[in-house]
Amino acid sequence: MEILNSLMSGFSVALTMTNLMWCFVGVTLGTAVGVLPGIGPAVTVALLLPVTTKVDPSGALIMFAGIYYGAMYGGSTTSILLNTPGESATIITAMEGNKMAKNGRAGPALATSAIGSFVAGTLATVALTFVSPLVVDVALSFGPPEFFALMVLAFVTVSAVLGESALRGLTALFIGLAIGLVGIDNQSGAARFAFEIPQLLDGIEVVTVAVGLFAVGETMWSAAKDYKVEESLLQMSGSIWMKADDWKRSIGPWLRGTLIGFPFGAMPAGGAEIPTFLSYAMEKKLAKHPEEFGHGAIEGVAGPEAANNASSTGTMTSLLALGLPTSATAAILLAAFQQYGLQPGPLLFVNSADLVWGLIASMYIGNIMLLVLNLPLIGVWVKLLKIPKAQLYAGILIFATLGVYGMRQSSFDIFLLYAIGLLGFLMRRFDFPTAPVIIGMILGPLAEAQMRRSLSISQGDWTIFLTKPLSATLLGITASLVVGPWLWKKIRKPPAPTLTSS
Amino acid sequence: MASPELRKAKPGQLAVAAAVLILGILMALGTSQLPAATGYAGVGPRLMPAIVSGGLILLGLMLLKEAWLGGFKDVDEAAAAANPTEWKAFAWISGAMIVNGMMMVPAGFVIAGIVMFVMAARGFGSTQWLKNGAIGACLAAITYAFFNYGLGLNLPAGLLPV
Repeated sequence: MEILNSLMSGFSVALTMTNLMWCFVGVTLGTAVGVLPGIGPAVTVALLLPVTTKVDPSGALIMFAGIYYGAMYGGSTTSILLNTPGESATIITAMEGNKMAKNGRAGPALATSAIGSFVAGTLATVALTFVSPLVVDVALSFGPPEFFALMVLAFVTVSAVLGESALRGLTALFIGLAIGLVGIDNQSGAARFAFEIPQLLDGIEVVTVAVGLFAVGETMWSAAKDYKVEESLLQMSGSIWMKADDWKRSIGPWLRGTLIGFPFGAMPAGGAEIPTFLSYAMEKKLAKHPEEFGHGAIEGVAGPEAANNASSTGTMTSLLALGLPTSATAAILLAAFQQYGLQPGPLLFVNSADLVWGLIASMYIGNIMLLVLNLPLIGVWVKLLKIPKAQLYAGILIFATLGVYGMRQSSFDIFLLYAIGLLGFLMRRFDFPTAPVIIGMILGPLAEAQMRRSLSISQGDWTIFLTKPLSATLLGITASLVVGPWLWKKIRKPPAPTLTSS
Repeated sequence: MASPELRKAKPGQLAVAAAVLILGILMALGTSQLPAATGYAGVGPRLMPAIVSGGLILLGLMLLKEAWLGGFKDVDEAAAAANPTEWKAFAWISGAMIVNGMMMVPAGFVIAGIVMFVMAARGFGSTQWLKNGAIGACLAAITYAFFNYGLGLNLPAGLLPV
C-alpha cells in the first residue's frame, strides 16, 4: 500500500507538462541513437551531462533514463534491417530477426520486438516498483564494509564473469580504476598521477572517457577496419502487423524473456547479453519447430528482445536502490546523479523520494511512448539508417568534440579524447571489453571511499571485511567467481604434457 | 590440438601485454611518491593506487604469458591479419581530431568543426568536399547555437563575429 502511495506521488511528478516533455525527448533520442550505429546510449547521456546545469534533477534524470531504455527499442530495428547489431545486447536479434527480414517478414519481426520490448519494459518496471523498496529496506542496514564488498562483487561480475576472457575483462576494469585515481584525492587532498598538469588535477571527465572509447574509437574502427564490410539495408517488407499465429508464438517468449532478463539486470551482476543468449537457447528448446531457428523463427526475436529490455530496467533497480551501476550507461547515469550532488543508493529513497518515484513512474509512461514511436512511426527510424557512413561518423565527431570541450573549455581534453579513442581502437582490436573501464572509473572512487571508511572504523584492521557476515559472504562469492573456473579446469584436466593444448 | 603455427607468440599481443605491465610499474613508482598514510587508521591516498598498480602488474604478467604461449584466449589473429588496417583512413580520422584540437580556440568551434567534418568524411572515402563542408557547417552551427545560447555552454566563437 505504501508502495502504491509512493508510486502515485511519483506519477504526480512525472505527469507534469515539463517532465512529460523530458520523457518524450529522452525516449525519442534513445530510439534514434539506438538505431544509429556508432553512437549509443552511454555516449548520448555523457554528451548531455551539461544539461544538468540548466535543468532540474527530475527532468534531466527522466530524460537520461528514457535514453537508456529507449535505445534498447531502437537497437533492434538496426539489427533486424541491417544485420549489424546497433547495441551489443541485440546480437541475437541481429541473427534471427535479419533472417526474418530476408524472408520478407521484416514487419512482424519489428512488431514482435517492439511489442515484446513494451511488455517486458512495463512488467520489469512493475517489478522495479515492488522490488526496489525491499532492496532499500535491506540495504539501509549496510555499513561501509558491506557496500565495499558489494562493489567488489559487482566489479568482478561485470568484468570477469560475463566476458569472453576474465583476464582481459579484469585488465579493462583496472585501467578504469587507474583512470578514476587521477586527480586530487577527496579525503587527503593529495594530487595523484596528475604530473602537475592542471587539467589532470581535476581528474579525467567521464564524458571524455565514454565518448573516446565508444564514439571516437568506433569511428576509427569503422574507417580503418570495416571499410570492406558491405551493408545491405533490407526493405521494410510485409505488413507491420502480426498475424494471429505470430501473436500466439510471441506471447510465451515475451513473458519468459522478461522473467530471465529482470533478475539478471537487477542483481549486482548486470549485463544484458547473457539473458538474451539464455532466452534464445530456452526458446529453441521449447519451440514446436526448433528447425526454424537460424532461419528466422519469431520466438528467437521475441524472447531475446524482451530479455534485453527487462534486463536494462532491472539494471535501474541496482542503480537506484544500491547505487551500483552494472552497465556503462548505468555508470554514466550515476555520474549524472553526482552532478546534482545526489548519491544513488538506499538513502536516495529516503531523502529524495519524489525524485526516485517520479523517475520510476516516468518509465511506465516512457514505455507507452516508445510503443507508439516504434510501431506506427517505424518508417521514420528506418530513414535514419540511410545516412551514409562518412557523414554519420563525421557528424558524431562534431558532437563528441562539442561535449568534451564544452565540459571544461579546454583544448587539452580534445587531445585526451583522441588518445582515449586510440585506446578504444586497440581494445577493440585485441578484444578487450570497454564497459568495465567506465564502471571502474566511476565506481572505483566510491569503492575506495567505502574501503577507507571501513578501515577507519576498524582502526586499520583488515579483518573487518571478514568478520561482518554479509561482507564476508559477498567477498567469498567474489573469490569463488574468480578462482572457481580456474580451479575447476585444474581439477577436471590432470596436468597434461605441455605440447598438447586445447 | 593446435597447429604449431597457431602456438607462436603474437608480437602485437606481446606489445599490449607489455604496455599493461609498464603502466602498472609506472603507477607503482608514482604511488611511492605519494604522501604516506595519515591518521590513526593507517589508510591514506596510497592504498588504492597500490592495489591498482599491483593488479595491473599481475594482469600484465598473465597477459604476457598468454601472448607468449600461443596468444590471448579466443582472439583470432588469423582473421585480424585477413582484415588489415587501412592506415590512410586511420590517418585522416586522427588528423581530423588533432587539427580540431589545435583550431578550436583560435578559429572557433564552428570553423574547427567544419574542417574536422570534411577530413573525417574523407577518411571514409568521401571526396565531395563542398557538400561535406556545407553539411559540416550546418551541423556545427546548429549545435553551437543550441549549446551556446540554449544551455549556456561557453564555446569559442573564434573568427566568427557571433
